[in-house]
Amino acid sequence: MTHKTVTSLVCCGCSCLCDDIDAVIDEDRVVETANACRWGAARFLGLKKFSSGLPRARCRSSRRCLHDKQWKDLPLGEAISLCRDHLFFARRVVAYGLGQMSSEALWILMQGLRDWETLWIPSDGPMLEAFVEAYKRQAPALTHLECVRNQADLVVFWGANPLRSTPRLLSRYGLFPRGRFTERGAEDRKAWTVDIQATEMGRVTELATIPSDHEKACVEALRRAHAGGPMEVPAGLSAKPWATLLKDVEKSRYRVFFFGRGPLYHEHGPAVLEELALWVSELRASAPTFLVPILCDFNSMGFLQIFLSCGGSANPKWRLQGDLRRWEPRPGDVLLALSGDCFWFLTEDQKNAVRQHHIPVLALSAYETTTTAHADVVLAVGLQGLDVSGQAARLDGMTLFAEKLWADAAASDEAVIRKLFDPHAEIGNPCAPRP
Amino acid sequence: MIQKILEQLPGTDCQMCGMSCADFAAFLLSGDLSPQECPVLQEDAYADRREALAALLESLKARAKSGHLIDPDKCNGCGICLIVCEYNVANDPESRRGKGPSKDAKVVLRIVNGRVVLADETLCTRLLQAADKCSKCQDHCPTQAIVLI
Repeated sequence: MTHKTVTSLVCCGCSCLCDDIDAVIDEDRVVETANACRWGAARFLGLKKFSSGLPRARCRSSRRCLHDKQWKDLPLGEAISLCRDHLFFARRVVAYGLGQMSSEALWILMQGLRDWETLWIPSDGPMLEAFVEAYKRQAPALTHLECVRNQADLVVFWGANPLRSTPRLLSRYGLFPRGRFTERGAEDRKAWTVDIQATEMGRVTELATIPSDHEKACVEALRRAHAGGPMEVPAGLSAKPWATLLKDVEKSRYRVFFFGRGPLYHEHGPAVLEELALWVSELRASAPTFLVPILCDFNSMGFLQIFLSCGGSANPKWRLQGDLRRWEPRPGDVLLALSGDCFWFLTEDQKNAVRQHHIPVLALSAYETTTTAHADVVLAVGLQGLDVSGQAARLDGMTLFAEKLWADAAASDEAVIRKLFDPHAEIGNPCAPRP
Repeated sequence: MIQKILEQLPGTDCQMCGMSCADFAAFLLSGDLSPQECPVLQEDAYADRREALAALLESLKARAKSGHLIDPDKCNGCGICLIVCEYNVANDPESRRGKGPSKDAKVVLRIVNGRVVLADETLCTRLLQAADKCSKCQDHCPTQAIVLI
């Protein structure tokens, strides 16, 4: 029986990728974690994220669905071979999920699908799609979270509630820690949250609430006022908090705008991001100003980096789509559900279309989900940072390596994807070599 | 908390216990008096309040010497309390920079299994100095998981 304590683990619970986690391991199981937030601890302890104490079912074996809806367990190699057969006949690949895979696997996947017509639908899709579009026009700069900790004297959380998405962002980097030029921590920073409703963020930052249809108008008002015009907020809103926010912006010397997915739940969300990106680029004339998206999945930023570095936005056969519900299943599609539960989000019409067009559903997953229950072939993989090792990019783009905790027989998503495209060829990964 | 206790008392200020209801609530909170010492509360009309008060006082048994009453169901392990804690900041450089304390560090609060726990309440500033000198963990807790009594 082995009982050991390991320190400085990387947590793949969210895009913060906290690297200070301690864990007590008893045989091949984590029995206690220290420094991990509730989401991270649930991942380490094998529990459900939002239902404290309930175990989360793991996908332990690869399998295929037979015609009589019975499952048949298969060796991994055979299951991959089946998936390869399905892909061979695909006229279009629909790749969903992606944000919970290692960077190595994503790199191999994109190399493999380079010449295939592919619809990419990441689970953080609305944010990534809007950010790519904003990036094409404004190129808003990112900064490292360590620089935020050391220098930022103004942090604005626009449509974001990091306490629900990345719980340790505030204490580790965003607001409270003491940095080189922010020696008094939160006292050296002005912090604002802009949201459509009052949230817990109001207890730790200034809070400006705003109706969702006025968000763009408010950014425009701030931009105009910053350029020297009058502060003209939409009718029904008080100008006072916006004037105070603008005053704080103008007084600050290092500003960071964290953009959450809140505005993107509405159709005008991309326009809000666009306007904010424009204002951020104007603010950079007076002081360093950055726009950082708050992504939820632990490697959504890794997906974005690799997608862009593979020329994804220029590839005529590829399309990045934010919203899964805009996917119209058609004959010849093959649905690759990669560590994401797409059937949870599909509409009934989409599910019917998948059945009607006999669209093969190939699921690669570490957990049992609605999608694995509907899949034609399931490829069971290990969890990154526990069963298998792999790289991931933090929400600011910094790459971290999450090492496995025990010698488990689980396959990594990298190995599975590599075998899926070519069991014989060696596909290099120039992202970074493994240590 | 005194207000919550006071809401469950008869509120008649009859002085039968020798003091006002507000003073009686303060003594209930400190544990120096028990609900049985309020004669009016023992009447049948106040049975519901008696039960509610008993449940309230039962929940207070979980509070630490330093006055911390932590609701683990509300805590999401954000770690803000660790970094604003006066003792942690003064004595643990890791906490000062935002990292979680190492396993050997002497700190008041820790995050264990995703929830805040009192690692060593005797180090809390509230015990070393006057209790009302520091309430930063409570004041900054966004989910109100920490209550100081």
